[in-house]
Amino acid sequence: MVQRILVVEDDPLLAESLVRALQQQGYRIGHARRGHDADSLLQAHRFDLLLLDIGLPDIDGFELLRRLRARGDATPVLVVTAREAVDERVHGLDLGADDYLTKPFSLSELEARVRALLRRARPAPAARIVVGGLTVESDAHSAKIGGKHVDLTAREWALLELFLARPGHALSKVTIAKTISDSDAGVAPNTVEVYVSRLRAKLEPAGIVIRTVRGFGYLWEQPLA
Amino acid sequence: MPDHSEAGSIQARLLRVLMVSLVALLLLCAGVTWFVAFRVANDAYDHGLLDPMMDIVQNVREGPLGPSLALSPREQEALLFDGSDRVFFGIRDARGRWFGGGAHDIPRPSGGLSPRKPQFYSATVNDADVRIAAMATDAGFEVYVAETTNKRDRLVWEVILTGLVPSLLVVVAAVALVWFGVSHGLSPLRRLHDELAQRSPNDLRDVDLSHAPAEVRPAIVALNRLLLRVRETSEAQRRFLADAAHQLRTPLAGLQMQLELELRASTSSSLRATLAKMRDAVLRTGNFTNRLLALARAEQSAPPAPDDSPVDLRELAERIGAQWIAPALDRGIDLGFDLSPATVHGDPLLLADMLQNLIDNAVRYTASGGAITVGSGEDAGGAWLAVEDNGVGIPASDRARVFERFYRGAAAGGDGCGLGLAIVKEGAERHRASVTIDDAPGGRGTLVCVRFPASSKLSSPALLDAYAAA
Repeated sequence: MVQRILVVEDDPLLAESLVRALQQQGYRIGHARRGHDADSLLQAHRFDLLLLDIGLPDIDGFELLRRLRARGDATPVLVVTAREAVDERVHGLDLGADDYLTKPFSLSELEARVRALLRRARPAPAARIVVGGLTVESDAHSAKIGGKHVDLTAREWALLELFLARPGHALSKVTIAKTISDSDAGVAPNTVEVYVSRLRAKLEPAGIVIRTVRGFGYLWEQPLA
Repeated sequence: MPDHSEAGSIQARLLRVLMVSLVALLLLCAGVTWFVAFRVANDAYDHGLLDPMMDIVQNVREGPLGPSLALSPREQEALLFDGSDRVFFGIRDARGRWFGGGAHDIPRPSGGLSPRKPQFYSATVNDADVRIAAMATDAGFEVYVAETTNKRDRLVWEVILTGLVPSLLVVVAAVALVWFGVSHGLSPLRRLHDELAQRSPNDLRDVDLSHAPAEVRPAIVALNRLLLRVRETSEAQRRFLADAAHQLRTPLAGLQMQLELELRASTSSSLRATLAKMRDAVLRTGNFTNRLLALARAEQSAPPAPDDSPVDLRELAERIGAQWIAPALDRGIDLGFDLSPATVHGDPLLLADMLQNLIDNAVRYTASGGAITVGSGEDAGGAWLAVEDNGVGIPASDRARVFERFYRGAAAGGDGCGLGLAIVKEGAERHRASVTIDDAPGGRGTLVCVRFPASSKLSSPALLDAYAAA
C-alpha cells in the first residue's frame, strides 16, 4: 500500500521540492500551505506521516501539532524548522513531534528521516529491507545473504534492527547497550563490542561495513547503491 | 575613578565646604569669646583699681601751698602694689595742672569726668595698653589710676584657650569623621564602579538596586533605564540578524533540494557539473547563514548567570560529534572521541555552536587519511573541551589572528567562511573560558582547547554534593 505524506510548508519553492522529492520515493503526497488547511486535511484524511513546517502564515506548526495530539491522532510528525534546532526541538518533542530537521537539509537526509519514521511508526508487515547483499524481513525475523539464512541471536537481531532503523548514523555504545539489553539484565557498554564484532563477522559476506568510531561506538556504513 | 571631571570628587568637595565653614565658625567663636573674655577680665579687675583711686581721692587736699597728696611714698607704694602689673596714677587740679603720682600723660576720657562717679576706660600710655580708673572729686580734682593689662590679657587668653582648644579638637575630629564617613558613605558608589568596570560589553543586565543607598538609587534607576534601552536596541538588532538568517534558510532549503533533485535526474555531465557547483555554493551559503546566526547568538548572549543550566560536555560532544562521523568518513577522516565526564554552567546552544565550529574546522583542514579526536574532561583547573587533528596545522604566527572574523590563514585554502573560530572565541568569552591553539601532541596538526573556569561549576549542586560526600 502506498504511504501517504502530508507536506505542510508555505514556501512555494521548498514545498514543490519536498513534494517532488517524496513523490519520487513513491509516496503519495498531500500539500497544504496554511495551518488551517492542514488541520482540516488531517481531520478528513489519514496520513502516514506529517512533514510540518513551524513558520506558517496563520497558525504555527506547534499549534497544529498540539491540536493533532489533543485529538489523539498519533500520526508521526517530522518537524521542519528554520529556527534553532535545539529550542524548537525541545518544544516540538514536548508537543509530540517524532523528529526534526533544520533547514537547509540535504535530499538524502530528508529521505532517510522520512523512511526511518515511517518504518518506526508502522513496522510494515511485508517490510523487506535490502542492504547490499543482505535481505532482512523483520516480521519473520529472517536475515538472508544470497538466499542463505543468517543465524542471529536475539541480541544480534536487536542490534541489526537498531542499525537498520538509523542508517548512516553513528550509534554510541551506551545507546546500543540500552537498546539491546533485556529489561532486567543490563548490557555493559564493553560487552557491546562482543556483539558488534559477532554481527560484523556474520554480515561481512554481504559487503556490509560496521565501522568502529573511536571512543564512541559504531557506524553502519551505507553501502554504495 | 579618575578625577578629571569639573565636579571633582564628592569627598573633596564635602571636605572643602566643611573645612571652610568650620574655620569661619571657629573664628567667629574666637571673636565672641575674646569679646566676652575681655569684658569678664575688665569686670573682674576694674574693682581692684577702685580701692587705690578712692584712697587717693580721699587724700587730695587743697593746701596753702597748693594741692597736695597726703600720702607718704611708702603708703603710695603699698597702695599701688600689684604682683603682675605696673600701677601708676596722676592727679589734675581744677586748672588743669598735673601733680602727685608720676604719670602726667594719662589720656583723659573724651566726655570728661563727673564727681563721685568712677569711670573705667582703656587707653595707651607709652605704647603700653593700660586700663584706667578715673573720678573727679568734689573739690574739682581729677584722679587717674592706670594699670597695665598683663593679668587682664592673661585672663583673656585663658578664657579664649579654655573655650577654643576643645572647639579646635572638635573641628579636627569632625574633619576626620567626615573623611571616614564620606569614604564609607561613598563605598556603594565604589562598589557600583567595580561592578560596572568588571562587566563585559555584552552584559546589559540591570545593575542590582538592592544594596544601593537612597541617594544613588535614582542614578542607578536611570542607568538601568538606559541599559534597558540599549538592551532593547541590541535585542532588536540581534532579532533582525536572526530573522534575516532564518528567512534565508527556507529559500536556501528550497534551492538545495531543487538542485539535488535536478542533479539526480540529469544525465548531461556538463549540466551535472554546473548543478553540483551551484549546490555547493548553496551549501556554503547555508553554512555561512548558520554561522552568522551563531555569531549573533554568541555576541548577544548574557555572561554566565547563576541560573545557567548545567551542560554535560561529554553528552554535548557525543551529540554534536555523532553528526560529524559520517561526513568525516566521507572525506576519509577517522573521527574519534576521548570523552570524560565534564560539566559547565552555560548556554547549551552556544556551546553546541562552539564545538560544531571546532570540529568543522578540523574536518576542513585535515586531509584524507587523517584523524580527529574530540575530547572532554574536567580537572582541578576546570572543565575542558578539545579538538585535536593531524592536519595541516596553524602556524604559530597565525594563531592570534585566526580568531578574527573573516580571517583565513594563508595555509588554509579551504572553503571556510572565516567565522568559525570567531564564534568559538565569542562563545568562550561568554563562558569566561580560554581558547588555546597548540601543536598537536603528535607534532603534526592542531590541538584547540577550550578551558572553562573552575568557578563555573562551583554552583553546581551535583558537584557541591560530590564535594560534601568526599
